[in-house]
Amino acid sequence: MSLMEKLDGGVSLLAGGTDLLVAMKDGRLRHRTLVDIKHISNLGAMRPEDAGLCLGAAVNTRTIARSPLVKERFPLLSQALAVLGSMQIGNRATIGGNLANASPAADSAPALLALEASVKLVGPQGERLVPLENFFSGPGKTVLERELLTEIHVPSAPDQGRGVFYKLGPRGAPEDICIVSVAVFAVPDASKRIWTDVRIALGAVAPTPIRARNAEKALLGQLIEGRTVEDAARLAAEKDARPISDIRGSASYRRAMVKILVARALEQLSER
Amino acid sequence: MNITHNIRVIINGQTREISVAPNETLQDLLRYRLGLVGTKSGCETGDCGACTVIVDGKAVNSCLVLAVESNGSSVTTIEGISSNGELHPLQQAFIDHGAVQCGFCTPGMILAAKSLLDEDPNANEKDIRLALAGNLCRCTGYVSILKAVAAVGKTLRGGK
Repeated sequence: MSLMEKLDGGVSLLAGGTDLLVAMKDGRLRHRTLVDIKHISNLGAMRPEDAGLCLGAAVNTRTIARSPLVKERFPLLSQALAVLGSMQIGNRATIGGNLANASPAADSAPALLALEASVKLVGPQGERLVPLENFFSGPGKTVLERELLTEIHVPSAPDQGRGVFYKLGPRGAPEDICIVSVAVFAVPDASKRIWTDVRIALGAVAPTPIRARNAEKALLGQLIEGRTVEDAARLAAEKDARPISDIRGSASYRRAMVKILVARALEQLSER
Repeated sequence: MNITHNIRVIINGQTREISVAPNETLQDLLRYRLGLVGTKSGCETGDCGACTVIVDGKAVNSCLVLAVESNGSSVTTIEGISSNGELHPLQQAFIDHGAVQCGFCTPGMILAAKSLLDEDPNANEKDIRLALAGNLCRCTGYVSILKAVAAVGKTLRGGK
């Protein structure tokens, strides 16, 4: 921390380097001092925490995806991280880096948003725990202020809850930068007739990864049936998503895909 | 700025002490300084997999690793997988299955496949496809490559 104060501006933190080196090579980052943080003790550890999970920011995404603990307790997270990048990228890219890089299309973000994860930020003034939903402030921007993202805390999820992640990309391969991504975590009541808790997160359709609050509200306490699924999917596409057109897809295509993927996810989670 | 870092790295079983520039990639160190040009330079952005090497048992894109980050690590390149003049089983399988055409992707493919099979000798076809998704081939259509890797996996499992 004292090092960060001393160096001040012009410093980039290096973890897996899979985003940073590309930015350096194409000239978006110049004359910078790099501080390699991945060997700081504790940043590389992953451990159960009560019924949840604490992930060190420098744990690589493939290690998390393949962890038996994560597969058992948080299959949604495992599913999302398994397609974050190729094997070679997953062996280097860190979970903290994927979040701190703050791409609207970050593949780890929707699953972690749906699981209501928080991030621990440590700076010269002390540390704070920020809900992931409040961490992103724009494309490539976060609330980090000369701080280090050290841990990701994933709280315990209800036993009856199930999740699903869809990533839409041009190749249908892990290497894709997604055009749209959707993570849904849903909890039915004991009779499996009513949605008691639904969290829908969207990637690449807003300046940051977002929760689709309008769609979620429309489902809460409602019957698990085709009509509610349709209404929620429409709201996610029309009210929650605020996509732009870019090289990967047009805004209208993205909205159309949000509708389809949210509906598909909810349908899959409706199956008894 | 002429800062250099002295690193100690095991490359294909041989310990080397090398002075590297802070912005030098592992790929450039291997190719241009050590002459290990079997590691190919393709997209330079981690998309094509041609520069794949194995660092401490894990396949990585050497174009996205700084040489200085490999300090204390063990690196395996395509030049380091045959032993006593005998081809590695994956190399032989690529020949037997006609999985090499222009050859540019081959070193990366073989090292990605090696790291997968070292990690999980029981890898099924889906695992192999996922593990090789980061290696692009513009000649073969991939089928012969998948067959070659699957055949080696089968041999490792004792023919089952």
